[in-house]
Amino acid sequence: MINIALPKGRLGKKVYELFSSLGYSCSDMLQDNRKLIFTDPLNTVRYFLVKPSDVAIYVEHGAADIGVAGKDVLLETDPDVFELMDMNFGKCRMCVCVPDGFEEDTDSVLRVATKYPNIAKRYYKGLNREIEIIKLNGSIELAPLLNLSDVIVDIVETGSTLRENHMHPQTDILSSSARLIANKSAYHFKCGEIDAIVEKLKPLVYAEENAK
Amino acid sequence: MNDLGILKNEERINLFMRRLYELYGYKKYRMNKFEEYSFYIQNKSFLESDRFITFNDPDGRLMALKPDVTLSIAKNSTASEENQRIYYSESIFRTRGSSGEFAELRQTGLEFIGSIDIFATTEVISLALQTLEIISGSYVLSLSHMGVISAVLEGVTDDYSLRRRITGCIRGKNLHDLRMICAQAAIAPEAAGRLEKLISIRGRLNKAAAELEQVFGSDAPEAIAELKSIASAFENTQYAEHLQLDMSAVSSTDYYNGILLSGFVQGVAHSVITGGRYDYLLRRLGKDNLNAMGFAVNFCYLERMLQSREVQQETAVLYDDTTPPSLLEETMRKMTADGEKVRAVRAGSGLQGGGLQYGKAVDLTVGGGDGK
Repeated sequence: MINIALPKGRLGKKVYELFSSLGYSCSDMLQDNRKLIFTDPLNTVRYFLVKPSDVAIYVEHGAADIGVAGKDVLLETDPDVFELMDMNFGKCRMCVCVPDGFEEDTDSVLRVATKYPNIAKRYYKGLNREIEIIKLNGSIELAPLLNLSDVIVDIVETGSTLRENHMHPQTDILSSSARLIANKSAYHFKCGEIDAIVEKLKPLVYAEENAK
Repeated sequence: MNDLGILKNEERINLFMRRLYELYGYKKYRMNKFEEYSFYIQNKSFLESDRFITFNDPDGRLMALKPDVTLSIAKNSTASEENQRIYYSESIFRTRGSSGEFAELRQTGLEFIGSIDIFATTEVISLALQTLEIISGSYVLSLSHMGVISAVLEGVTDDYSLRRRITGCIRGKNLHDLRMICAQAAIAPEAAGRLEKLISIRGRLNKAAAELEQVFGSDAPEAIAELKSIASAFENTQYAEHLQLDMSAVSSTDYYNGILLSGFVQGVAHSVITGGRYDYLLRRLGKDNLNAMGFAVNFCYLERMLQSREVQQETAVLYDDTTPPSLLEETMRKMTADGEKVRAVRAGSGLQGGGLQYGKAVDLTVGGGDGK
């Protein structure tokens, strides 16, 4: 049996639909319920629904054999897992975003609000810029508006939240998309099943990519 | 008193491992729990983390609790006519998990120091396989070779940081980011394709080593010949099906230069054995005439698997003020001599039936069935 950690929400639903089309379906998943573990009737697959930022933790620690996590989360937490495939969806950019009309005072410590302190630290270390990280867990755009920070480092999809809060992306730090990851130990014992999933996913994922 | 049943699984496995290593002529090496801090700082590229527990000794020197055993063994090794075969079972002090908290971790391992040839390499790999077999019936020993990876990378780029990024992709079996990195660095498609082969060629050692030879035979002939010799040494043994080639077993440190070992057992999420050939470390320590190979068993990852689920039930021996102490002492001694697990319980005390589960009870109180 393959244990799969899926992120709750839109991304997880999309991943489940893909897996389901490959024959790894589990009808309970589509019902409106509060279950977190779903096993298919043939016992070939078991899904866990977890917080998107926790998928890599479940996989790294072997609670799940494989999972789908955003590249942004993988770069932030640096889990010791195999990254087997770029799923080519859930695409977004991580950017330094600033309030409209912002002018950086390069002579003072830059205050950076972010959910991704490690990525932000690495980026500014590369620029040799002294910064102060303000770690937030949500509504990052609020920080510069209340003078909690000078800039933010955050995920940008459409940019509409930024525009509504009179901010804009200043610099792209990296691009992110959903990745299929595997536990290193589990892969050694279930490589046949896991490789089969990857091979079946490839045409679907690339077909979607080519159709865009 | 030769009953090993009393030992925890971890202790029993450790005992079997020690016996195995002793039978192969390895000598136990016991060492101090600390070294000078400067020693670790000078060699931090060989360590997974540069965070240590430090303290001042009475002379004011800054010391650190050992984060690694091999560094100390390598430092103290000396050239001699005979190869040194050493094993250890020591505590190391490292940060553990995402919390970054320090923990005392048990590590047992062995080092072969001196002249490393195919015979020595096969011996160390055989001991790694036998160690995994002691731990679990379902295991895999994955081999990689820095000689192959370095030779292929040297043919692609001399940019150190680019090599590290490519090695990171090999470690993560990350073909998509490898392609992106190669495209960004304008690496020729043919060279990029060869790098991808380092990820895609994997599987049973004899078959995968032959595939490796077809692609990289002229890049790293000695390294591939070594892999093929190892495959052939184990080909007709019970270990052949457990021995795999997988280049992802690449260390993030500068420790290793030749064969790399990574051992997995089913049901444990992390590699329980890590090791390999580490001549660079000896060069760094000024031991130009010595080579070395070894591995360590990371017991911290085995704790959960080894937790014994079988709990021998206790027999309650009930006593009160009417029980002669000599009778209680004699009863307990005779029962334990027969291998029974006992606990003296004062009759009527909160312990009796208060949550402890006893297999049976022996009542030594006056009026009790077993009292005299």
